[in-house]
Amino acid sequence: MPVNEPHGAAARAAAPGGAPGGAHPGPAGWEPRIIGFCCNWCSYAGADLAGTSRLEYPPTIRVIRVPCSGRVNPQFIVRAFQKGADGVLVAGCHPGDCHYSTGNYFTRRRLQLARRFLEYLGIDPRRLRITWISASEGQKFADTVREMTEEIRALGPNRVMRDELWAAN
Amino acid sequence: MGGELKTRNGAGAGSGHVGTAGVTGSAARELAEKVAGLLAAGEVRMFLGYGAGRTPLRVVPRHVLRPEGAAGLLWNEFCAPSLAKYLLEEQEEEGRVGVLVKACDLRAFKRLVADRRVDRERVLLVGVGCPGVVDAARVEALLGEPVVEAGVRDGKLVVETRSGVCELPREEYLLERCLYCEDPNPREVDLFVGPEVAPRPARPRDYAEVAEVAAMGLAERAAYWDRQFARCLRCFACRNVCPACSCRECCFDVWEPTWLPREVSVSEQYMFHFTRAFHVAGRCVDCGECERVCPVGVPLMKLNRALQKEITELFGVERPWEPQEKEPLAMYAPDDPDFH
Repeated sequence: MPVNEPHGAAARAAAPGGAPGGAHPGPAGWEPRIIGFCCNWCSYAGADLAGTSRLEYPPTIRVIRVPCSGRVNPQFIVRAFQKGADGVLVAGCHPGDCHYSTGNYFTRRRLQLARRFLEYLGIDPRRLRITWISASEGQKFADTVREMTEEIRALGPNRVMRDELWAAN
Repeated sequence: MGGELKTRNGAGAGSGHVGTAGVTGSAARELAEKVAGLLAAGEVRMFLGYGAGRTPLRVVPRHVLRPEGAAGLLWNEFCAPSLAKYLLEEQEEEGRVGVLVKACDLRAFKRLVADRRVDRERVLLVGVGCPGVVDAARVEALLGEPVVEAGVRDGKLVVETRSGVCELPREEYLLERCLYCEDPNPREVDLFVGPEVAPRPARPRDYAEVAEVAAMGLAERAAYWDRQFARCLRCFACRNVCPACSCRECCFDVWEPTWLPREVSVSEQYMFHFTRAFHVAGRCVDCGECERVCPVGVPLMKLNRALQKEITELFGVERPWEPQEKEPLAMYAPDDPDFH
């Protein structure tokens, strides 16, 4: 792990000007890392459908399957940003379609607040996307990942909250 | 008393050496009498009030078990700590406990009852009108040496140190929470001692301190929080004092999963402070105790208030600092704002 490169506050100060001439403000060869929390019943199946339908989307997302979007403790999101994620996607069933009837309604409330609070702490709200993807929306899953990747590529690597060990790239 | 400062270490309400003339003085005398009566009659097995601390500015909780002990109780403008959370330990034992509450402490008490951590029936609430309490930390920082005597005279805060006596405008040295106080007299208590206190005009809750942070750019804001959190010693005083933080098992005390490793880094401080604030979101009673007890001055209320502000904006809860019938995050509405 390249721990000798500038990290923490130093890296953050350097980030806006970093990689002159590059398409993004990150170091050369950097690609966004996105952690995706997908609910078992809709969004994970949606991601599966994107795969079986051979839809192309950038390989920037690492999907973690959760029983319900309501399982996504906001601490998971903070931990993801700490350990090197540049973006976090939380995807669940559409409101009203939750396998457990109301799980995603609670998620919506909780994560609306968490998202605004993270913004208050300095995390760009574009780095945290919460969206509803049904099992039949493979296309929406692929589009979401593509859009998010492009957006985060333009923002560059996340530095806020990041554990120094992961800060170098 | 004759205008002389009389609050000395160990001087109690019953001894005649009441620190503050006027409102708190008469309430303190009444308190000592009533508490002695309650204990003698067996109405309560113990009474939780204030006693003299290391300096006159730093009062400590005092557990009174016998009627004669009531003379050692204090009540004055330096009684800042909220006693409500001490009731958690007292719930382990049988019997009824009496506790002294100010209006702000009553909100904390209601929080603990709403969270079903304290049994209302087993507590006798003794309310007292509060003229506003002094921010000891600011006075100490200003003087820079130990305070030997302190009191309030003609609306002025009079503090004595070894090098002399200093008069300060009391209104400017109140705790921040007192400026927001709408009614300094606790209602719905079992017993009220002393006279009612006239409310001062309350500062409007306009979240100016939150807007100040929100007005910064994202990078500047992150740098601001980096600086604040870097000071954190992770002593957990903010958590321990908080009336909304009363889980039997705290996520910071378990090693599996390790939410907070032993390593102290700014990154881990974000995890701690995000979690602490978010776990009390919608339940914080805005008492400001966390910030008051923080030994390094992390502006914790700027986190709590930001969440209050958002809860009002997003979910229409008008007074999020008051215990709600249903906690804002323990419910939902089908027409809650969606993500775009």
